[in-house]
Amino acid sequence: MALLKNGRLIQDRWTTVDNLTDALKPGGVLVPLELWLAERDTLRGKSAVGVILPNDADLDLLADDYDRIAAIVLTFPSMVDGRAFSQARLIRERFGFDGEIRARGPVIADQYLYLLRCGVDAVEVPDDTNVESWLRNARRFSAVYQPAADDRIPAYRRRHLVAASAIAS
Amino acid sequence: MYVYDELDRGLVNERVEEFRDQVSRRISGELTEEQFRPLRLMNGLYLQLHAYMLRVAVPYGVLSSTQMRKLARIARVYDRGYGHFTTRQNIQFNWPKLEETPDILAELAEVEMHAIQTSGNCIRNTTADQFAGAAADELEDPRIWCEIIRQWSTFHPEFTFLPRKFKIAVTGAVSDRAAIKVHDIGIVLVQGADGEVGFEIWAGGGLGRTPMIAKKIRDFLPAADLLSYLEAMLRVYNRFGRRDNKYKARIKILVHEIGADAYRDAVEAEWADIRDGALALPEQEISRIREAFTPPAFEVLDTASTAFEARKFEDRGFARWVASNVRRHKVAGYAIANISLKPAGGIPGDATAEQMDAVADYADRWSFGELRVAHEQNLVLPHVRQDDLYDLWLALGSVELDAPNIGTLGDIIACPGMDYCSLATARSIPIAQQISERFADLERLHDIGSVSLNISGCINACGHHHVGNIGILGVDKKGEEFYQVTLGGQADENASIGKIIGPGFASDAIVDAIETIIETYLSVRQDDESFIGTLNRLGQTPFKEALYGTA
Ligand code: HEM
Ligand code: SF4
Repeated sequence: MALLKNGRLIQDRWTTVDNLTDALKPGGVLVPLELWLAERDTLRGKSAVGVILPNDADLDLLADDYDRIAAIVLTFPSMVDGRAFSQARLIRERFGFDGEIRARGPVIADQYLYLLRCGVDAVEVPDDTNVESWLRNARRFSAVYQPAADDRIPAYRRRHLVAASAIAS
Repeated sequence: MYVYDELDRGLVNERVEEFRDQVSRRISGELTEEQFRPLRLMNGLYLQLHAYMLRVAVPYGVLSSTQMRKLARIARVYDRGYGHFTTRQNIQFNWPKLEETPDILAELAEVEMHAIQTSGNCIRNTTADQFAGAAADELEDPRIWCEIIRQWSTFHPEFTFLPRKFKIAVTGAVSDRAAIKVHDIGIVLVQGADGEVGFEIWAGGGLGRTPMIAKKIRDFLPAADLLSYLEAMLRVYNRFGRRDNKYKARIKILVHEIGADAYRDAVEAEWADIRDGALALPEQEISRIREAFTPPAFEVLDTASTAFEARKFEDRGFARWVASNVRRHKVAGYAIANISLKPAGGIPGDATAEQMDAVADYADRWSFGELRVAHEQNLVLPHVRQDDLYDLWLALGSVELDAPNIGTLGDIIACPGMDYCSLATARSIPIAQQISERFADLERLHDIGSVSLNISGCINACGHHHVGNIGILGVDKKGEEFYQVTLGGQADENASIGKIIGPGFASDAIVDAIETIIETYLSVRQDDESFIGTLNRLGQTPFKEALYGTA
């Protein structure tokens, strides 16, 4: 697996672990939510810890942690199970999380724009991914009709911006 | 009518290019059928029994004459010369080729049309009262709010992979012609304490195998809060709606299982956090869209036209058509003309390319170029001068669109059933055809009066059988088609789900059974009591006895 981030395919430097011993080894680790909740005090001492959230997780469980976690992994059991889209927006917009939010699961290029708009900034993808396909989808639409976790201005506001230059941008 | 600005136009064209890209990636094998399926569905492309089917959106049922001509052209060039208008105010083409669908979408985009989100587990085409902007009993034109919802819901990044499809309906009138109580969300325009327009919000209605009437979620929502409230409603559903069983994934099941109060509490809590955010609608945008629905330049006319009255007196056929197909308009001297797509023995909702072209011409000549699609699978010319109705009627007759049967037993709603649909357990079109033929006699049809008869070819209830005064559901019983009859359904402001009357009927007995029900009604009705009035007064007993004998 590689990571698609900031428009490029990069090597994933994080390791997914499922126990405390491995979690405390050097390097960035991604741990299941239960492990984080059980060992939160120990794990907080380490800088590079990410938490893997099931898509039905109660986001309040991490209310005190969002500023101490480096990354959150959102789970897509299938490409059509869209619960994590809501989670992503809430984590960004309500809890103000500014670390990496990555998508894990069989999402496809055609969903990239939606993922980005909801605040996902990294996607785990196969090594042979056609990045151009993904980027084309991210750039496809010249306007948006609704606000989301990104900073694009929805059509209903953009239309009424006084400066004509703003409309052209 | 709403006219696209450059942002709207850009998006629809970009969507066509996206789909062209997806189709070519599917053909090259880069996309598997499993990956392609949800993408094509979100562009209205279904795989049916014999071929692909393309469902084109008619946003809130409104069409210009130019758009109707384009639909006629698509029927002619890419299909077999006809199209099928649906209960969701859309149009379906039954025989397009996969490779040609991007070209069809490109042609639609030229006239500001698309197939976006006409299928798939996303927010579907928002439907409305087909008399919007013309109805005499209207508080405000619901199309303003439908267009606002259309834009907000289009390519919504968070709500494109919901547990199940999601349907919103809006009415601005006292009589509910949009069946809002059998929708995932139903919206009624109401007046607030200070006279301002706002919304009453309903949720959790639906048909399918578990029919439910929606619950009221809010008495009054201020206009500017429409989108933030909808977003809160959808977010709660997206997060907590069931996904383990597709038949339990609609919002009606969530509302039913946790209860309307718990659902409301969750929505209100979510809403409190986003209400004052970016979703608050700017007054300028509401005004911009409201202006798009400014009424056309109506002439100042007398309420009653003597020429019109004289024509009715002279020509009984015309008088009959007026009685069943014409409705009161809010402007003096004008009328709403319904065009029935239900000729006796015909396929409900089908129109040929020639008929579509003709109707587009009539709209230009007599209705400010405007047309509507009704969820009963008929067409509407919303703004006709009473003085022009006679010429319109003659013109409709020349293309066999003058059936005088709106709201009668001939005005049957039927899903495609076994003739097209891969999910069907029985045929529905032939049953509709036989019933409308049996009751083709106009004298008798008008004597029977107002009654709705809806037919579905399987439990999914696309034909709205649960909410027909008479409902027919086709089922499979050991390889044979059987038809179950329900009585007492209603889709209007008194929405209710019909009750099964007894054992089903074989395909050669169902038409007789319907006739028995109607004859029973005629023999026991009082004065000018409607079918549903008689049924509500007497209950099912007389009908049961007539059908099955006394036990
Ligand atoms: C071959 C084409 C079609 C297929 C495969 C299909 C499939 C389905 C399914 C599976 C449901 C049940 C959904 C649920 O309960 O969650 C449904 C409901 C429905 N469909 Fe269709 N359908 C088709 C054609 C149509 C047509 C032609 C119309 C309009 C005439 C239509 C309008 C509806 C409506 C109004 C409902 C029920 C209302 C509701 O609960 O939302 N469908 N359809
Ligand atoms: S009710 Fe059943 S048979 Fe009819 S269109 Fe829907 S899925 Fe097909």
